[in-house]
Amino acid sequence: MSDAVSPAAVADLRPVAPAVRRRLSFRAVFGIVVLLLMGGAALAAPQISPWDPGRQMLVKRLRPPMWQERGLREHPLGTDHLGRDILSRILYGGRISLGVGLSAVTLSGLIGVTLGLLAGFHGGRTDAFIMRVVDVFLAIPYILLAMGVVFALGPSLLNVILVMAVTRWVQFARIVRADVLSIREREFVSGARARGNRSVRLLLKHVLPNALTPIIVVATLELAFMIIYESALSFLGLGVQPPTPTWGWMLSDGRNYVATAWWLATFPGLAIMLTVLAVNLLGDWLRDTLDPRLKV
Amino acid sequence: MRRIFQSLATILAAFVTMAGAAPDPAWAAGERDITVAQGIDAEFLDVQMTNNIVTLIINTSIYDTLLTRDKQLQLVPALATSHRLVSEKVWEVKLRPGVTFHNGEPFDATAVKFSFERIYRADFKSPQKGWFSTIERVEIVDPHTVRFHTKVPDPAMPARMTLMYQLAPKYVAQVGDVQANLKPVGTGPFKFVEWTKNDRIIVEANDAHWSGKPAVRRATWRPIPELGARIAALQTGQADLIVNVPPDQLQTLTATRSVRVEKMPSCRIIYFGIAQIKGGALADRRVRQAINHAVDVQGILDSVLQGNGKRINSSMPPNVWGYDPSIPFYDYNPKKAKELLAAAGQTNLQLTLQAPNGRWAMDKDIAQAVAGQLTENGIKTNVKIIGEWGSYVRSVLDHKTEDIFMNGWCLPSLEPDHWVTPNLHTGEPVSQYSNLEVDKLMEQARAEMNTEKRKQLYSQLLRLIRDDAPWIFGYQQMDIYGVNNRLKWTPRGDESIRLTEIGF
Amino acid sequence: MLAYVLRRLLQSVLVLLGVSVIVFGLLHLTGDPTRLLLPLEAREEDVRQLRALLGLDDPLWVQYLRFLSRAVRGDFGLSFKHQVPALTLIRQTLPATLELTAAGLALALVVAVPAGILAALRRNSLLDAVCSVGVLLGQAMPVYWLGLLLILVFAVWLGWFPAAGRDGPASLVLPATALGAFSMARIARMARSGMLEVLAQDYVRTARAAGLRTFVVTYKYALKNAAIPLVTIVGLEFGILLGGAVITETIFAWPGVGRLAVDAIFSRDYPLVQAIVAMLATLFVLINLAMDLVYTYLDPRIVFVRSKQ
Repeated sequence: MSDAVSPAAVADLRPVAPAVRRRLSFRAVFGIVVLLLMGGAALAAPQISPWDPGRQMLVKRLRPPMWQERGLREHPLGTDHLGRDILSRILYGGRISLGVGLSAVTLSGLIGVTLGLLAGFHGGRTDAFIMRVVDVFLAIPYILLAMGVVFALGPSLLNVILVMAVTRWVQFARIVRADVLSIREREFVSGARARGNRSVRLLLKHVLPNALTPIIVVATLELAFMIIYESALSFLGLGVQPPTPTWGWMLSDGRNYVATAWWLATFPGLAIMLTVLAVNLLGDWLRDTLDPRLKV
Repeated sequence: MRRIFQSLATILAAFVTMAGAAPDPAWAAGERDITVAQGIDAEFLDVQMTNNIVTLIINTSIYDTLLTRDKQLQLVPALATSHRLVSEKVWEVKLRPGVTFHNGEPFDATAVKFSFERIYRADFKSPQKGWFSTIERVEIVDPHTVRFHTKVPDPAMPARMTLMYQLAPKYVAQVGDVQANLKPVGTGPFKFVEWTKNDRIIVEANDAHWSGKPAVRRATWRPIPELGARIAALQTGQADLIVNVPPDQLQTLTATRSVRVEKMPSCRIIYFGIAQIKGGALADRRVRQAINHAVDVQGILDSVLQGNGKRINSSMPPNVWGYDPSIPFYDYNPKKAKELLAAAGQTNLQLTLQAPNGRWAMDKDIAQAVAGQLTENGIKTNVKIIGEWGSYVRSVLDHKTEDIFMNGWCLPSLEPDHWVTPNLHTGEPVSQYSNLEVDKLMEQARAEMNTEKRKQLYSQLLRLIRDDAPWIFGYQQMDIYGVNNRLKWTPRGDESIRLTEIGF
Repeated sequence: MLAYVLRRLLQSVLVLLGVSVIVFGLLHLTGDPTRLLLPLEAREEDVRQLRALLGLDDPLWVQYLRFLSRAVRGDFGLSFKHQVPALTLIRQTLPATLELTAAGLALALVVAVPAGILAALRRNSLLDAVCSVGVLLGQAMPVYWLGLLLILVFAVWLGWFPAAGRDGPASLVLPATALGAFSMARIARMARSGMLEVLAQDYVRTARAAGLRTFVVTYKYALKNAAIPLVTIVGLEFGILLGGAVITETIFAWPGVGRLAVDAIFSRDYPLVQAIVAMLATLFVLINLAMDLVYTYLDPRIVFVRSKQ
């Protein structure tokens, strides 16, 4: 199952040192620009946010965006059902959603890459064992696993990150392992081994830099997945709990107002969509330039 | 390449044809067939296995009780035609003759005795054991007369009889508990047809029912948990009646011409319990009263619920017997709140408020509104949302709640004692409060057989409760339903939906 | 070949054992379900009685072995909440989920594979961009948002399809679309890379140089070989779709296993959760085993390559 990414196919076609052809395609530009905007807005939220995102102003609840009738200038994107400013919540929500996504990907990457390296490099029984563990995690539907774990530990920011990382590390492990397996065959590695280099140094000096390509591509794509994942957990009531605003919670909260107060769900939804799109496009472009035949 | 496109075209064409062949929007098969959409599926069709309101609603179409409540919530005969007190602890009940179960088995006194005893069977996991705990035994006098012997004088007996669902003894003995749940047999106005878990339950009219031929011929109960989909189902005609519409969605329904909105003040009250048993600041009555003055309940009702809710002055809603309208509300008075807090030496109070998510209409939003107001008025309050209902219940039953906990309360019996004892008496699982004076009054009122005196006792009790402020007294919920205009129906005050009350 | 098949079978068995350990262990961290099953007035002795009845007081490894021995025979006990054998409930609801997942996957394949192929053929053109972004949009929207929008537009406004529930083929369209949209990007991407790889192969280049029409070349040589990685992805996507089905079923009131699982987890229905996860994992393992064997049949080189490891 997990051995499905055939190392043979990967090995034959990739150049030894990937040449990043600087082709400025629309995808890359779009991706980078959007991400910079989102990231910047999220970081600057405390400075640029017009209101306190948790401030309830019940008299002004469900106000439409300012360009609509009944809209208010001081609430450009409208207010939600508790009278909280949507724009502020989107800005602050971005911090959590992006932060959670990045942390989850990092953690997931650390676990996955380490295990993938171990499996690929040592081979034999370590490999077989780790691969079976990967298979086990693949077999259990990630959402059910996440729900079960969040239940046990209780929903909190840390637990959400933990849970997402624990259920997705396999993506990294598989690709890294396949990569390592193919690199192992290469002469310079065998040459180095013949010269008696110790494995860990070998791993870090020669193997890892070459495995970096797929790791980066997977990381970008996983980031996109994590953002959606967070919103799915929020839908189930298991994400980061209120009153901390996250895009996922806002979307989940706002979903009942899609026909009446469309702005509650649409803006966080668009934020998620744009970010995920940007990250995906960036990931696609990375894969294309670094190695278009990578099966990721 | 061409072949791929060809096959794609065929598949797409198939999809389009299927879409075009969709049955016409009145999904129900016949003109007098209806579909009711609730939020969850029935847990059981063995009515004695549940105390959940949605399940009970569905089961009420299949099973009858000894007594029942009419539209005005007054007690009227059902399977029992009359009842009277023979002595202080003995009630004699006359049963309706000529009634048969759906499988032909006759209904008589043995069924009553069987149904009662089944709940208390040691291996039978019924949550209804608490409903009839005052009854010692059932005596069969003759095939149409039974006597209930109670352990203590129990003025609540008639109310209990509205919860005594009758099962068919020979049928249950023959097929066993598991089948009795999957293929229920009762005496009710509708007969069971089929049950597909999480999909639908179909019942059809029992024309031989003692109350007459139902206007509805066939009813389908469907669980649609997602609110948006449920409302959409009503709009498309897929469902004729939907429940639990939050006030914010009303404009969607009023904008759809084929449907209308029906509202009814519920028996369910929503309050914020103050865990007085935790001691400290919460044990001081002045602090609790301050908390009540610091929350603008009416304001929250007007804004968040858009006026769909009525304030309660103590622990009972207006539609339960025993309610006293003369008891005053706590006025929204932040100044007074600050004074009380200062007098109690609690000027820097910090509290945590817990609330569920999605259990009651707009629960977490109201909780956040309440917490926000408390914070604004000098009591910094954190909100803790516990999304999982199981944990929420556990925190209450284990007496491990936060300082303030949101709760909803309605028991189908509508018996006044059930509105004070279980949630305020010392030591009760749901109660986080202890006041011996209040306890004494409760016990007195519970056993008082004289109606007049009983009413006075409850007035006194409710006033005492109000003054001691074990809760932030919230509101009586408004049950909001969406109905297709082809149905003639208005809601009941006890959250129940009776198919026999639906016409065209 | 036989050795390979046997090895894969053994691997699958080990995986299932691993799944059983996780499923068992996980649920024992979720706390005590007894309070939820007993009426409000339950006293401590009732709780203790129930714990004894369900064997919750024995040491963990004893409970695990008991669980395993029964699970192998298909006995996961009675669902706490429904008082019906867990497996019966799954048997009743699984077909609905399989129907939905299959439809979602089919829809995703139908849309995404041509999109990916087109994108590969016209690499870095506008068409490539449009196709890529198109399928990406489906993946960029949380499935419940997409589902509700679909209901709003196609059920309420246009009235083409029913809003919810399982009522025949027409009611399958919206949920399958919502579910499948999430997989489209991945499948398209896979189709695209697979296609690109094959297009670069010498034999394809030769054929094109020899002047054979692009279409012919594409179809006869490239497509067949690009299909191979797709076969593997189908198995993995199935698992991802099962995860998405959980949410889709809730939105569309689809009476499948996903909804049952959500319900079960929220009510701490031990046996049912265990049964569902075990069944779904088994299904996943079997499907992937089948896919792997198909893959091996299509490209026997893989066996050789793998046996070298």
